[in-house]
Amino acid sequence: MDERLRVSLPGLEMKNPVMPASGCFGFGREFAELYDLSLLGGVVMKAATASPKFGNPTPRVAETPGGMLNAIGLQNPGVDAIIEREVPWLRQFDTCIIANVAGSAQEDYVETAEKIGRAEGVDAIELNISCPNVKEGGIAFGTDPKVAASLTAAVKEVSKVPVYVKLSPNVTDIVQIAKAVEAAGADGISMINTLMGMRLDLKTARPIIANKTGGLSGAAIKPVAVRMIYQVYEQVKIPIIGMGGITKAEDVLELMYAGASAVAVGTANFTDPYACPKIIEALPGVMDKYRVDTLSGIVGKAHR
Amino acid sequence: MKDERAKILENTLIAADTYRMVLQSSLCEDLKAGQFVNLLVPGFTLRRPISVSSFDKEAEEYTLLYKVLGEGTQKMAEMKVGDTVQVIGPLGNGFPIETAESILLIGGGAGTGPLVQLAKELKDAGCRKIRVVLGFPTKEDIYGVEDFSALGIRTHISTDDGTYGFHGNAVELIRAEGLTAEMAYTCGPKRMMQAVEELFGRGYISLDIRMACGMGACMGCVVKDKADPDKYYRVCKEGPVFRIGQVDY
Repeated sequence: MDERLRVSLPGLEMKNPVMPASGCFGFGREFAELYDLSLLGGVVMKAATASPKFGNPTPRVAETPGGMLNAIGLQNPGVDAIIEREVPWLRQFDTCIIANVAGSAQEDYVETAEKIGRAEGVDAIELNISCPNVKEGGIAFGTDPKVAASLTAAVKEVSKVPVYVKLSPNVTDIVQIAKAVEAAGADGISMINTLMGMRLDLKTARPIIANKTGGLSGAAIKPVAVRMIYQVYEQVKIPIIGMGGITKAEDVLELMYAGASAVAVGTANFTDPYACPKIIEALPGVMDKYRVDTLSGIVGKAHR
Repeated sequence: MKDERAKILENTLIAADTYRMVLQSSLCEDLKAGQFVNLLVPGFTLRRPISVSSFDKEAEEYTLLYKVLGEGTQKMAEMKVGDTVQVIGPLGNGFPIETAESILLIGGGAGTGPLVQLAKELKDAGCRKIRVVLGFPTKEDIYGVEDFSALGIRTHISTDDGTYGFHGNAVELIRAEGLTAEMAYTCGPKRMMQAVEELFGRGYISLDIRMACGMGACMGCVVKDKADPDKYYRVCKEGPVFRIGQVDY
């Protein structure tokens, strides 16, 4: 293990800052057929909701230049099944486990966060107030600073583990939301979720995705992520887990310079299922190239 | 499941916008009829999930029959023999090889591909009466006939515009010619497969749906069980092959 890659965030002592992003990795079972998940700094599980959820009709995905749209709709087997089957399975690996929590009402979030925060092995919660693909809840909690703060406070009250609030870029001023959740007690911020987008089928003139709109992810959104992390870092003190368009080790440095203390890799896992271990492997060489001594030492370097 | 570089042995135009690509790599040894590979086209975020049409395990060679439908498959068509391409596979469940007195294989357009290996294996399993029905939009789109005739299997062709064979679609051909069989396997457009499901109580369908990861992680390609609305399947993992009557699509 390379000590230069080590990072430390509330609840998360990570051997490296790289983890697969929620929703792009399931619960890790498929990827574990290809590589040892203990290589990862952490794993962010697919969103958990209070009850099982089927999600949206198909098509749920469409490719775009430099990325893709998705409207899965938070399909998951429900928090109880995740605690019973997925968390114990993931515990076999030497890696941090972050539980992504979603809901359609404050009570759902609180119930799910309380349950999963008590599950053995879960190191932190990522509070998903930014899913653009569900009719109720999700993004509705992430676009109003007051609503976001009230939910954060309610979840913090019941959670046994640190809470990272995952913010939506689909707002006028993301800094206001970040400050509001910090004031409400969030231990950290996770950003950015997908940007809302749409594609039309040229033959039918109708949206390709059944949900009509979908969340844009992939390399194309990296500049938006960098800009927003940069702006939020200037205004809040709690650490940021950065995500949005990372496909290579150089991107990790860029997001960390902007202000991220750790990063998540999403869509790149679909292009190359080995994306995360390859990025981790490439990091020391890229750090040498840009004269980076330790990763923990470059967080927010763009501001100095 | 492996992620490896495969050598391109052939990549030729065989019908309108339709290509045969022959690849060579070690994942071939685990292939079953009806499975697919997910092929990386440099410059694109998502891979192209393509059914394996046939394979030769001794030579480690497998064939993809694919249609150019967009920019990604266009780039695939421009790939050169001798170059390599990154592929993940085998993916999906594949066709169960069942025994029956008579079997009908029904392919629509790009759905013809996966039926080739299936026909070979059904024949090897001892089924004496296998017939193939293929439907295409027009004469220039027709492909695959020689693959079945090489196996000694007769192919019935329909074209929507009547420029070759039966004038109409594959299902209309089956009705008009009174083709019957104990069971059917089908791959093609949704409406065609739904009509096949109405005609045959026993058999299998192979679904084509937009996918992202192709390996069961992203929940991009799910379908619901017909009987139990709380049960679902990932087309890339529990599919793409389902029993007739099993799923709502």
